Amino acid sequence: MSRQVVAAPIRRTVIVKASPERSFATFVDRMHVWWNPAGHLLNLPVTAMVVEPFEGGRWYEKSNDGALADWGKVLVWEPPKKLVLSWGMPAGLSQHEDNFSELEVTFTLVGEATRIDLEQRYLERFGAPGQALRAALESPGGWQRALNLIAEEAGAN
Amino acid sequence: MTAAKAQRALTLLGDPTRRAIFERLAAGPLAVGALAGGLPVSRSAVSQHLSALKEAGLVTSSVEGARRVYAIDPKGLGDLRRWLDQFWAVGLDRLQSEIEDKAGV
Repeated sequence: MSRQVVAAPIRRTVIVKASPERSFATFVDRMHVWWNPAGHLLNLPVTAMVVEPFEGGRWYEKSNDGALADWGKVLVWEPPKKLVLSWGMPAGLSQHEDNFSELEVTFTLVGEATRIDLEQRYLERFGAPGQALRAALESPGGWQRALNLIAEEAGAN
Repeated sequence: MTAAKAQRALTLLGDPTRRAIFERLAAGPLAVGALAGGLPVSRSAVSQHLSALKEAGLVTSSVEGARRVYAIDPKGLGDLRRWLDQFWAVGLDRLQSEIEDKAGV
C-alpha cells in the first residue's frame, strides 16, 4: 500500500520564431493579452496579470474595476530560461502550500527559434491534500477509473 | 466540463470545510448525517457544500433506502485534467501569436 499515485502532469510544447529573451519577456509582460480568457479569476476585462520578477514574488491579476486576485507565487525566476509559478487558490481561500499546483515553463534556443515547454503538475493538490488523495486513489474501485482516464491522456501526449 | 465548471472545481476545495468533507468521502461513501457528525458545522451547511461539490463534478450521490449517500466522483480529476490541457492548448496558441507578432515575423 506504499504505492504513490499522482495525476500525470499536463505537458505542452510550442516552437516560436523568436529568441528565448523575447519569448520569456512576452510570457511574463504580456500575460494578460495572451492568457486564455476562459481562465480568469476576476470579471472581465482583466487589465493586467503581474508576475513580480524575483523568487518569492507575487503572481496576480487585476481587473478594470481595481479588484486584485492572487494566482500564486514565483518559485523560480531564471530569465530567459526558466520560470516556475505556484498556481493556487484565489485570495481569501486556503493558502497552504499543499494546495498549490505548479506551472513550470522553460525556454530553449533551437536554431533560430525557441522551444517553450510548459508543464502543470501536482494537479492532485487542487484542494485535496496529498495523503487523503492517495488514500482515495488506492481505495478499491474508487479512483481507478480516474487514473485510467489520466493514463490514457498521458499516453496520448 | 465547461470553463466555468472547471474553474469552480479549482476553487471550491480551497474552503476548509469543503475540503474536510471531500477528505472524509475519500475514505468511502457516506450519508449527510454521518458526514455532519464529525464536523463543526450544521447538517444543512454540509448539504449545501455537498450540492456545490456535486455541481462541480467532484462528488456524486445515490439513494440507498431512505438515505442519500455521497461519494467522490471518479471522473472528477480526469475532467479537470482534460479541461486544463485544452486551456493550455488555447493559451499557448495565443502566446505564440503574441510573441511572433512582436518579433515582426
